[in-house]
Amino acid sequence: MRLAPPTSLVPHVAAAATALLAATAAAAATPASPTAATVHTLPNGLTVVIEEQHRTDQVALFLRYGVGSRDEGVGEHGCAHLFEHLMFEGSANVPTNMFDTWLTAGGGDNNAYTSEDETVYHMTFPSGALDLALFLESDRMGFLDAGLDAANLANQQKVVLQERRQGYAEPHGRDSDVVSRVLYPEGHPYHVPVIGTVADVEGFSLDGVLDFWQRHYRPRNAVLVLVGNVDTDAALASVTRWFADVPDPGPAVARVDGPTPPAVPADALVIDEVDDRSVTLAWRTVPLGHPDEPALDVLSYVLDNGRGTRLADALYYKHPLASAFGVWSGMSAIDGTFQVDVTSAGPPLPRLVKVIDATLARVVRKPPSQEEVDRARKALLAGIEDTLETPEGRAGLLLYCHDTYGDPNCLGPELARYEAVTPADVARVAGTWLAPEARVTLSVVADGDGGSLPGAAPVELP
Amino acid sequence: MSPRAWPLHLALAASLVASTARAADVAAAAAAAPALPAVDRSAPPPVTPASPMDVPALDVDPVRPGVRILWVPVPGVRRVAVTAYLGSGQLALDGGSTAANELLGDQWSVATRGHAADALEQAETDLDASLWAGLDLRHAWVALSVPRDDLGAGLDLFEEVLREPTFPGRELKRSKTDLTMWLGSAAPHSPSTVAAYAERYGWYAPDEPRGTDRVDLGKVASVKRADLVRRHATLLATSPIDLLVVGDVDRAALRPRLVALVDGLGADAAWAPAVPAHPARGERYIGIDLPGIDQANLVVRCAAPPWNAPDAAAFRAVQYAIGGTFLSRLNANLREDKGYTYGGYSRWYPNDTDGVWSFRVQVDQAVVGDALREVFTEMDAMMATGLRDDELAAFRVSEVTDWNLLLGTTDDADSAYSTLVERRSSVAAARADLAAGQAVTIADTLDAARTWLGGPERLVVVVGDRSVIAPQLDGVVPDVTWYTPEQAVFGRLDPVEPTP
Repeated sequence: MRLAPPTSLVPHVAAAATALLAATAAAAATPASPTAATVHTLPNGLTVVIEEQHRTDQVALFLRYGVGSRDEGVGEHGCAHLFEHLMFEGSANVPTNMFDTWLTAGGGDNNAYTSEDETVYHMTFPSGALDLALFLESDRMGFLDAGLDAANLANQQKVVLQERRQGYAEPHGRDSDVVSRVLYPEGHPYHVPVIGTVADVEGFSLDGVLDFWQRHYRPRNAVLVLVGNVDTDAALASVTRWFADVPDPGPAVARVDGPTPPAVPADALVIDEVDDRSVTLAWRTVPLGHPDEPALDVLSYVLDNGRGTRLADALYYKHPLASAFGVWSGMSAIDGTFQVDVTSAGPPLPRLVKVIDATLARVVRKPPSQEEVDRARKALLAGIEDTLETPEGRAGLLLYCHDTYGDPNCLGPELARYEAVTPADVARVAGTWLAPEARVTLSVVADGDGGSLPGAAPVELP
Repeated sequence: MSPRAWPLHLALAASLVASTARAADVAAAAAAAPALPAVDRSAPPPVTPASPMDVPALDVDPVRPGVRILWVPVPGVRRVAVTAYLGSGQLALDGGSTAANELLGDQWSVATRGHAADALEQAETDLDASLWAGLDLRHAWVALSVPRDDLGAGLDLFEEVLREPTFPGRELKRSKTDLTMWLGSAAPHSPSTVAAYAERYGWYAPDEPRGTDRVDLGKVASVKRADLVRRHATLLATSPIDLLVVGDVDRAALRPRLVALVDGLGADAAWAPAVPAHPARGERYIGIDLPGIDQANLVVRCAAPPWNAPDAAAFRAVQYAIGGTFLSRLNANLREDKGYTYGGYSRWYPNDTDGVWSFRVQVDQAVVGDALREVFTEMDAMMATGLRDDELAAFRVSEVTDWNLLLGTTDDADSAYSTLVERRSSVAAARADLAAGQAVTIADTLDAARTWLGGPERLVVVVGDRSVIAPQLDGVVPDVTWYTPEQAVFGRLDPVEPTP
């Protein structure tokens, strides 16, 4: 990835946040969507979503391919993410390095990210560069194979391995991938980190990656979203013209959707360059769009949203047990995670776990007040309307809605789901999904520090 | 097909596609329609260049001597940003950055007479508002961002924070603890954080203004609530005040509230003078030893022009081309050509009287020497030829693109106009600077590159495992002086200082 989010669940959290950031309290009362995108399908199967926004001259283009690390087979781990690099290395009519050169010369900027479920290429540019942007995207969708060569592949393999090392070199840089590895056991589509394994990344051949591209990078497996200073009819005509010669090799290969192996409680250990011990508790929860998703999100804010929230007070504001902590709930297409991270300010890790357990048990035993839930919901949805002010914010949101619900204008109904959450719902999901016996833990301690949780076993990333 | 023939064809294609929403329908229509002519992919399609848009001047509205409201109308945006800029800061209070000053900035917006810390936080959440404060060497500020519909309630909180912060002892204690744990425990273990500290303190000496923020944990511990109360009162009583208002507001309705908000505050005084320029220290080569890690952090820093220098526009172009973007020479070389790094970028940090240019990159420790050689090669190349034509053209486009985003959101506009306020500058000056960027020539960039990248002051910082790195540096840089991560974090990098 270029400047993409870290691997593992973070992109999904970002996607979920983007979705939430699109709804508004005002819209909740009226389940009409504050977006007005139109959806079109080209003859070759490419789905096109367009929304006009004329506040500035900018246009955002998001192109999402339905391929992520979960689609990788044996020997392919890291290939979806590698493509996020290779797609910039040239195609039939765009020589090496010229994708960025031409787009930049036209005033544009671009980036990409990969998750377990998708790979998204996104760019912004002045409206006068629309045809240029479509030329570049269509050329690499249809004709990458004519431009990619072994030298470019070899270089990007090195860059990806360096990216992996760089991410893992910082304190706690491995935590997220280790938690996912334990939480999603062997056989689960999310078991292998998005960035892949060293052996696989080193072993990719040009034929192998082009085979992967032919299977997944096809119009029927893609959604193109355009938002900004465009006229819908003219923009659609431009999209149609530039993507008309992109071949339609048929539907994409079937995806791995489940069933997924159940979580197995485990205690993992990472030895890291840290001075303070930390512990993570993580639970498997629900996928995007699940009825319990909103209540789990609200629960995370009931626990941690600054002063006066339950875990924040118990660990930090009222009792200085932690030097850093965080709670988040993140969902992906076929599974979800609820996670609590705590860095100790001195107490042993078992004591911190005890406090977390007790706090969660109290939520189950006695539901939070309506005021707590209202406050959490307010914080959860804060800033949502701000996201709608930029073309890129809207484009990310429309894409999320389309992928999750098949409707880019899902914001009104999405918000209504959050407005419907009650204190009893919050208590129920805490009891259903966050049982102590269902969680995995990760202790992170310095070399030679015996202060991990009892029984914690080292986990290596391949 | 000629691009000029597109519109007719586009209209046909649009009528085919826009009228349908399901793939099957579109496919059927397409089957009955004439085949679409192939597009011409032999060259990138032309781009219609954007022109710089008009942006409003800072509308200066004097309230009384020393106190002004600066209005920036941004139609159609949801949020309003209000910032009270106080025209004096750490230099006026203590002659530089001190533990008390730092804690004042940290604690200013935590609690007020009307709202305890948790109540203030909840009130911000309820309004979807943000309140924050800070102070630097030259000025202090209290800022509010709130949806327009809740501006009244937001201003009530803003006024409390500006006038009546309470600096509760428990919060102050927690802030001290956090700072102590960060510097004492966490920061020395993070290679990139260590590199950032080494870069700062390797450049600024302890006795110059920008070097005074070295932290002494003993002094942090000794700061009392009364120290913050006194400094806050001094700033409010002795500073001129500019109230910057950015957003879609009813000016006539809002003005009385703002005038009342600053009633009795401020002084008819000059804004604090510019921070004295950094005295050049020659070349320095610093190593920070982190045994056992396999990544190295590299920093190369040079003196650079201040924002208002005659060659500022030319240097902006140099910075753009050498390290400012993904395509820049350093990233293209180290990442795309050599595969040494995930990415490396440079920044230009211009002040009023000086500036720095800084390139930072992480590489595998095995290639530290080679990577540094490549950095110097690219700097030399820039000093030998300046920008290429295509780089200069792209730079000009990027400047217009950035300009045209100035009013995209309240945050965008607030950021741009805040810079003008901090610099005591104007939209006219910014517009002239944009024009200067459009007029930069390759000869100008050559001169700027030679002046600054080839100047007498240069700092190189290498953070990593000394045993692996040191042998690679022979012949690449002169003798490197090695320090510990703790010395970097606390700024004990000068030979004259004792090491902890």
